[in-house]
Amino acid sequence: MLEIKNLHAEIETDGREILRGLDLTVKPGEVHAIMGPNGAGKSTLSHVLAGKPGYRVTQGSATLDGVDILEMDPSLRAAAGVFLAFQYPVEIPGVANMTFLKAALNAQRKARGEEEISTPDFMRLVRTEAGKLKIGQDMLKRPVNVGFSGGEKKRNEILQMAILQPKLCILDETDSGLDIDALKIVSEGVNALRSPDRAFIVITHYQRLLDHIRPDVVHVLAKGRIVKTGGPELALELEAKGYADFAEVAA
Amino acid sequence: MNVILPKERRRTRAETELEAAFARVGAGLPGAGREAAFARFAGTGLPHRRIEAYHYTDLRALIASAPEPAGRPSLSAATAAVGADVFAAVGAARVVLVDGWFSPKLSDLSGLGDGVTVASICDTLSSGGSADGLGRLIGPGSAAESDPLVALASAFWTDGIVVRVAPGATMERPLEIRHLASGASVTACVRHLIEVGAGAKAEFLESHESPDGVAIHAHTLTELVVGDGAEATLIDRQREGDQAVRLSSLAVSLGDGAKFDHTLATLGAKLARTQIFATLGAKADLQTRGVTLAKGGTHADATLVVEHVGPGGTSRELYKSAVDDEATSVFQGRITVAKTAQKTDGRMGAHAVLLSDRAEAQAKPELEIFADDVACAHGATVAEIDDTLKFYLMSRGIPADETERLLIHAFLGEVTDAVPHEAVREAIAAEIDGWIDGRGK
Ligand SMILES: Nc1ncnc2c1ncn2[C@@H]1O[C@H](COP(=O)(O)OP(=O)(O)OP(=O)(O)O)[C@@H](O)[C@H]1O
Ligand SMILES: [Mg+2]
Repeated sequence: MLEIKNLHAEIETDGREILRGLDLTVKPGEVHAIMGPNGAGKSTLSHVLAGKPGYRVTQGSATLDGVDILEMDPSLRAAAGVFLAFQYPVEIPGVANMTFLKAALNAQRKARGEEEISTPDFMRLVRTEAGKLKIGQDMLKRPVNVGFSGGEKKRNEILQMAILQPKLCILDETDSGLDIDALKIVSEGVNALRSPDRAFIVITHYQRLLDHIRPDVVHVLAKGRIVKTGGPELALELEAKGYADFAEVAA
Repeated sequence: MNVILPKERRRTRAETELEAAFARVGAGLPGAGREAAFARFAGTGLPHRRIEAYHYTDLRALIASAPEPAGRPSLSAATAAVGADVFAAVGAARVVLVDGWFSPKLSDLSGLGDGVTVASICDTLSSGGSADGLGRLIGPGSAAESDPLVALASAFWTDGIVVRVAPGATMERPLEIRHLASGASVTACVRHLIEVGAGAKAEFLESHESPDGVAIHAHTLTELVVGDGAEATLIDRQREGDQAVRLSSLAVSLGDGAKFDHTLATLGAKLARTQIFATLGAKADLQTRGVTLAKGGTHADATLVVEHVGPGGTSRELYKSAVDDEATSVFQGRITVAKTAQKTDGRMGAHAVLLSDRAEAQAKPELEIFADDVACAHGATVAEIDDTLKFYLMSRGIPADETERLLIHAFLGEVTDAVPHEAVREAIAAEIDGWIDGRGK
């Protein structure tokens, strides 16, 4: 599904290279966890895949089902099925959450040549998905993320994911800021979306999340490259030993 | 000894044209005080950037030529000028003026209720009726008195309406005043007098419209008295054509305990200036908000002069503009708190979003406080659309132009959501949408 080859990316303003030859292949139905030290480039990878401005790709490629996504504008990547649950979701004053969700869903449908969803169908969909994530009416009416607690923002990201039903879901530290119950609720939400034709990249620092969302593959990202790949046991190993072993590998 | 006299300033073409026009038509216009008004105008001429109140809106530079004063259009021309009413859903009574001339046949003054009278100023004067109060709010001692646009409108007005709402009366439906254009490139000039008696309740809508491509210069001068304990709302929406010059002045006095809720929507014109001169009595409450959309090479100015005279008054001014292409928006706001106006609570905000790197916004909020026990604040910002927000919306599949639409509505929402009347809110939101659709075209 996702094929990243020798990806190099730098910060546009100062030319600092953050991703330095990153390779990653994710097949449909798989859940990949990416772990790695602070500043390694995990969020940068997710931003480059989602098309956030401010980064320049200097080498390499990233394709979704064989289609190069790096040239696409962010809204087209989304319509093609890329979804990033942000590490730091932004607040959008003046845009009601509901209005936003509907605009997003209809824009994606339109880009795919599908009909707009009817208002009753949309309301039903939102009510069901919000209910599963314990998101109340109040949060749906309020402007997007404005005044939401850290955990509420993360749940709101997963609500968007559940409604938009993307092909490739990238979760950047979705577990940070979640209390124990919310972590369970969010994980259930994610697990419910697991399917043979959908893939997940779960960026996290903690095994705790991976107890709920069982990964098929675990990667270590250090200094802009994938430096080790293994099964679920790799995460446990990292939890015990930390990243000391990888400092030299990447250097 | 040689005395070198300052050479008389050379008049601009527009000033010469106005002078010639006044010489021709002035004597035939109804009412008194025309000569004095024109002399006040001629004393300064068209104001320029060295006159503080016109620093950002240099009319001497922006107005190259002044078209002929409008004659009364024929009924068929006036009828043809009437297009769809954006506020139709409000169900208001209606006064129609075309090129500055009142058209009773196109107006509908029914259903306003007891104690409400509406008549043309010309009819009132010619039938020996009372136009008492006309000129009082722009007379000596008022902030409007020295303003050249007020003087110009006082010299050239052709007609307008006198509305009186008796003390304690409630208007049963709003009154909409539509200022339309026949399509002739003329100077159209009206003045209105509205008196809302003590304890009365009244709602007004104003709409100023002209077709694209018509170089009309449209002046409006309105005096509005909101009596003690009275409540009035006024929604003033302007969607002039792309070649029009729109110059509006509103002088409003709020009596003790009076409430006035005012909305200004500046949606068109090549050059627009709306000025509001407000004075507040004891415990009076003024809410004024504005939304300005400017694109192309247009220039839109909203200028407020708010004087708190009585104690315990409240005023809120919130003006927002979205500026595209190489357009300019100007906000000037001055809140003056007199010594007598202790416990005044005033808050003014002016915010602009620039949608192109050639767009410009000027904001000059000022406070002048002579009392010692007041709570007043002001703030102004000029920003661009936030790329981070735009990216977040795009990352969910919303195309770039749609994200801008959402963010422009979101930015203006603080103003547009506060407009009284759902039907008006919807009409203005639809106009903003239409403006956004037309961007880049
Ligand atoms: N827009 C930017 N401008 C400047 N530096 C940036 C920018 N984005 C990322 N960086 C830098 O790139 C490096 C990688 O950052 P990134 O956010 O990708 O790390 P991360 O692996 O997600 O770390 P963490 O685990 O702390 O979230 C950091 O040194 C960061 O400061
Ligand atoms: Mg990160």
